[in-house]
Amino acid sequence: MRGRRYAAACLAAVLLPGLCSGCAGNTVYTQLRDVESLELVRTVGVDREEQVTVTVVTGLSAGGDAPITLQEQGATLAEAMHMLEQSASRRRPFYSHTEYLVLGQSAAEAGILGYLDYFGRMLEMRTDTGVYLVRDGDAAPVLHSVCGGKDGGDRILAFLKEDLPRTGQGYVATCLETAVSLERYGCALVMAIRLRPGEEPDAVQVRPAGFGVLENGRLTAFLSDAESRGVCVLQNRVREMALVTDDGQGGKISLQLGPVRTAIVPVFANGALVRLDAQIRSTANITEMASRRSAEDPAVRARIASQVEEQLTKWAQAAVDCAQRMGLDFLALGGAAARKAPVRFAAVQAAWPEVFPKLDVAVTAQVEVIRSYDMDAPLSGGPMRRNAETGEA
Amino acid sequence: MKQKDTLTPRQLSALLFLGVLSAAIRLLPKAPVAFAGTAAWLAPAAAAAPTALFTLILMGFLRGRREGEGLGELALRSLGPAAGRAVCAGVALWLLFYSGFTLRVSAERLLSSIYKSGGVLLFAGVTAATAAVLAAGTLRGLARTAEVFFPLAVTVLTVVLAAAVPNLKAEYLLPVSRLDLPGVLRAALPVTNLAGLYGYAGFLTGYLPPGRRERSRAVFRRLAWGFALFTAILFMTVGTLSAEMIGHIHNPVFTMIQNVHFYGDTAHIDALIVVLWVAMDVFWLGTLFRIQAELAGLIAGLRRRNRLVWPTAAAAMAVCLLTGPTQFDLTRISDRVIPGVQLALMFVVLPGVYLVGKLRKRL
Amino acid sequence: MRLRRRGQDPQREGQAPDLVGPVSAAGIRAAFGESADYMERTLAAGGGTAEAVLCWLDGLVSGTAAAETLIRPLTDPARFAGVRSERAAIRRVLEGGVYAGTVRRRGALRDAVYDMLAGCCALVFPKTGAAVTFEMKSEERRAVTEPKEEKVVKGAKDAFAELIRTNTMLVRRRLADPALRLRETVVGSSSHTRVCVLYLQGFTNPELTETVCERLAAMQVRGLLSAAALESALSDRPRSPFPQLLHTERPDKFCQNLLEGRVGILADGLPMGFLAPGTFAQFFKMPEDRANHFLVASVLTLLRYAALLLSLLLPAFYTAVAMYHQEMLPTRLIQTMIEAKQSVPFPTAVEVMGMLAAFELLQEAGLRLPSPVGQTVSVIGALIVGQSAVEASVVSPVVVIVVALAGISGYTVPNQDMSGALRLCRLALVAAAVACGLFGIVIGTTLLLYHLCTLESCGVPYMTPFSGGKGAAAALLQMPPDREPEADPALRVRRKQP
Repeated sequence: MRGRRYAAACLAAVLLPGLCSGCAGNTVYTQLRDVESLELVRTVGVDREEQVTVTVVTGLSAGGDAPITLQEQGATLAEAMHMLEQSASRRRPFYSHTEYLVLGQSAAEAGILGYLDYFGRMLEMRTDTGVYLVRDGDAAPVLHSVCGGKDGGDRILAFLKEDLPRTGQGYVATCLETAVSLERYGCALVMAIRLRPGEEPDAVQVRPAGFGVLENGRLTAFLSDAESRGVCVLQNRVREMALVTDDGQGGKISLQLGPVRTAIVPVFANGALVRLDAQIRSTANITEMASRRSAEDPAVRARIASQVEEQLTKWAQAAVDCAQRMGLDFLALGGAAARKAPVRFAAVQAAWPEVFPKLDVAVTAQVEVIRSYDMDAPLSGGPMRRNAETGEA
Repeated sequence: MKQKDTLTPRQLSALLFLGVLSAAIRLLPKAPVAFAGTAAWLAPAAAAAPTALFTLILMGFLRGRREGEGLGELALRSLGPAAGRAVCAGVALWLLFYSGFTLRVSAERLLSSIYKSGGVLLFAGVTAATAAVLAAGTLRGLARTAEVFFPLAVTVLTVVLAAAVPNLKAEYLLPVSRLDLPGVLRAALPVTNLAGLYGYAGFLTGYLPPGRRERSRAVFRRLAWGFALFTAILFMTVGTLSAEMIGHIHNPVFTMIQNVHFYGDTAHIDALIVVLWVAMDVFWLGTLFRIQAELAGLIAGLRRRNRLVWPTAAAAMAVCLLTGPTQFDLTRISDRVIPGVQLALMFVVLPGVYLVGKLRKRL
Repeated sequence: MRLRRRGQDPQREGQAPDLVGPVSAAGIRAAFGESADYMERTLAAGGGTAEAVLCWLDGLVSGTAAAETLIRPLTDPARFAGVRSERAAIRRVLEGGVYAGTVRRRGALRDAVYDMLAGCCALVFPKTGAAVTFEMKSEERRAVTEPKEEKVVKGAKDAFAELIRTNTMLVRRRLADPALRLRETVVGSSSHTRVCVLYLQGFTNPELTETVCERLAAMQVRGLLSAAALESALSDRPRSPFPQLLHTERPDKFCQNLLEGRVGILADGLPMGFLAPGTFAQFFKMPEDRANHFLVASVLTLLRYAALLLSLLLPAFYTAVAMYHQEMLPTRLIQTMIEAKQSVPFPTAVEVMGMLAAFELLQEAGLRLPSPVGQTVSVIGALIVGQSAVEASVVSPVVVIVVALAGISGYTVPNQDMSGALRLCRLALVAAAVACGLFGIVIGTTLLLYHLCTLESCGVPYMTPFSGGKGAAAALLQMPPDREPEADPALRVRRKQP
């Protein structure tokens, strides 16, 4: 009897979904979808004029078919997305593998909080989706021409995301990071891109165009290239970077910088915050020397280092000046200072938005040239001559 | 060689620990973060003292038990038959409400994270039926199942938390200073509330074999491991999502797991973890149904108390369908009703009954 | 037209033989009716001093042995010098007058008849109403051969045979311990199968031994001719598909389990030994684990458990993910799957169920066919069915891989009964996945785990040592020989081995 009851209970537990198919109007089968009925959306673009325009692009299929682009409009993002699902005739758009969100300038200027909110509530889309901003343009052309191209545009955006920390030009923040920054500091930086004509006719290219600054969710300004690099330096976002210096005698020296690390140190006097020290540290490796001087000479290395330090300081200072000018701590300097001296900084935390624009921020850099790989001395182009008096080469 | 229905302390501990983990996903990390912000991951450390106090009171109370007795029988002995039955009935009614609420929350969690637009009746019904099947048999069957399932669940959780480490950001976890102390102490309340659920094991101590008593050192060791796990969950969630965002997200732990990467590809394994929690809910509900059946049987003087499990499950389903028709109602109950009653049971009712029993020299 | 022998009583032919009363030649003759293998011969035993009737069943008894060891000495006057009566003749016979090893005096007809059925000759002395039975089994038996199912490289190569005495001999040779006890009983009202319970006196838990003996005594069957009847009687929950009794065709494995504290059962006519209790972990141990290095054995054991999970969960997991939780698939994989499934006309549920069914059909077909043909058919069938189905776009390649992997993983489970139970559960979990996705799988797995945890085998929890024991590591890993526990702690043995 016990066994029969047990078996009946198991059967009921398994069959209950079928029995409940009509109950309460909703069933688990709303979630049922076969995998071949899905259209994987890799990039989503949002524009806004009078209405919200949503453009979605699938990636290259496994069979090499070209990406598919779909577009719909609506009064809100939710309405446009809903229209998109209804109008997709062949397959259902599926957003769990969406890698990038591309916002047109107009959509960003109107405010992105609603979009982040929508995607945050969406079960399918992940919070680590990268965000791009189109400078001087809309998202739709980027998606149509670049992402929807036969080479698969999501690769281009993925390449940019990987490449930016190597060039120090910027970084791609995720939806989560953007939202956290907005919540924490009232502002956030979003990587901007720009469409440029390509080499071939009718071809377009995507180039990084600095950061867009969001204040309370709305786009208010763009940073220049130098300011954007400065942001990356100050936020420890530079993994490696190529720089060119000279040897003072007309020779060029190319360098590969290692990871750039910046420490923000608050300086207090009589309990009050008087200054922030931004201490930048990095290492440099010589990758090419078109010079007659050898890197073994400390003076040469010192000169190289000082040039790199000067460049890094210039960029960082440009970013700080811009942030102070705008009155927005998009560099998260306050957060960094709070981590260093939490108790003392707490006194100034509430008034930070007022304190920051007027605060003295001293940027210093220290770079050390640590290796020149497999060439100790550069090629001289002739026999080495020694100075008869000094004996130097 | 037919065995009596007994369970070992280790099995009882595994069963209750799964229950605590089941409830943990509702409370952590939102409740501690609401009080302590970035420093919320220190809340379990702060909760150690009140939890230890509660545990000492509970262990002291249980020390006076005789063979086959649990908290219910002790309450009857301490307060007398009438008052004891009233207290047991109150606790049973509370557990009925709590199990109905747990069913509802479990179903809601599935609907808001995986099965959008699904039905409460299906998920709650299947979960309740499964829990009732587990609870209606011998208690040792339920406890053995928990004992086998427990290391699997903890292993999966540990692997997932470890895989989330690359997503950690120091700026989300720091700064933490002595200024956060008041917030951390307030954040200790929900963690203490959570750890106190372990105390329901006291109702089932009557099933421990004769001569087997739970040693304090073993209990504290298990609680320490539990706190370590809570700390890990809080640390990882706050470190990947930030305290600010946790306040906005409904299920922060699952959102954190959503972004876990394996070998460069995002695994999106939150669905797996969500349903893993369904299994924990099943064990917790099974335990609650069984405790209610024990209390009801004790009040009514019945011997075969497991027969009351199915009616209890049906009553819990009714409570589930009537409780919190919307997600917002559930949040309100979770934030205001549950913590208050639970803490009252832990620090008012239990010590009160213990004290009365001591004063009346019944213990 | 029915053949009827002269003198055959048609009325009595329809009735069971009546074995009540003292032994007599006529009684024995009536007991066996007109069976063609019933033989009798009247002898002048003791040099003519006593008349006796020698009865036997041809085939069970060796005629040559009977002639040499019984008839010759019985008819030798020198052996029976001084014997004047049947009683004296019986006494002389019992004292060694003939060359038989096992000699029993029988007074009841029933005893004599069953001795004859066990391979004895019955020498009936009509005047005294007594008989003496001599064990004289024929040599017609299957020799001890190599094990067919449990092959090992570094182990003994003998296996149990059908004769119970051969099997007890194989056990005795390995366990030369006087504490090894053999308690014999007879099961089956028609088959009268001898069943032997083996245990180590003073070591094996006596409660366990008594439980097994009681269950055997309570068996009410007409014939014990298959293992299923014995397993059903000795299992706590015979309705469960999970085996609760170990069985082995290897005497070394049998003896090893006796040394761990288990009770062994041997049945006449069954070329295998049974061991109680059988816990879940035991079904994943191989005899070769002890022959290999403990690290190698540990890795192989872990591999078996991983294979168990794959076999049980992979098809269901794939179904759930492909139907409900596609977000869990890596991007490249899901793109490949979408592409592959474009031309497949069936939904995922039908694909998976269909392939599982095809796999089971192939497996069953392979078992029924003769060995050389069966293996070839299985391989070709799998290749042709799998490959053709994919090329014809009837199924997608991923489904073929998933089902094949699950099937192969199932074969790594050493015990066929356990493998069969897992196949059933696999189908149920796929059904649950079709119904509810991962939610269904978790509910199904929880119920399955609960079922396993509520099972007991002769009072020992089935999931020992995973639950209720301290030696979970001993189940998952092979301990070094110096750290291996003497006996299974769950069996509560009485003393340490000397």
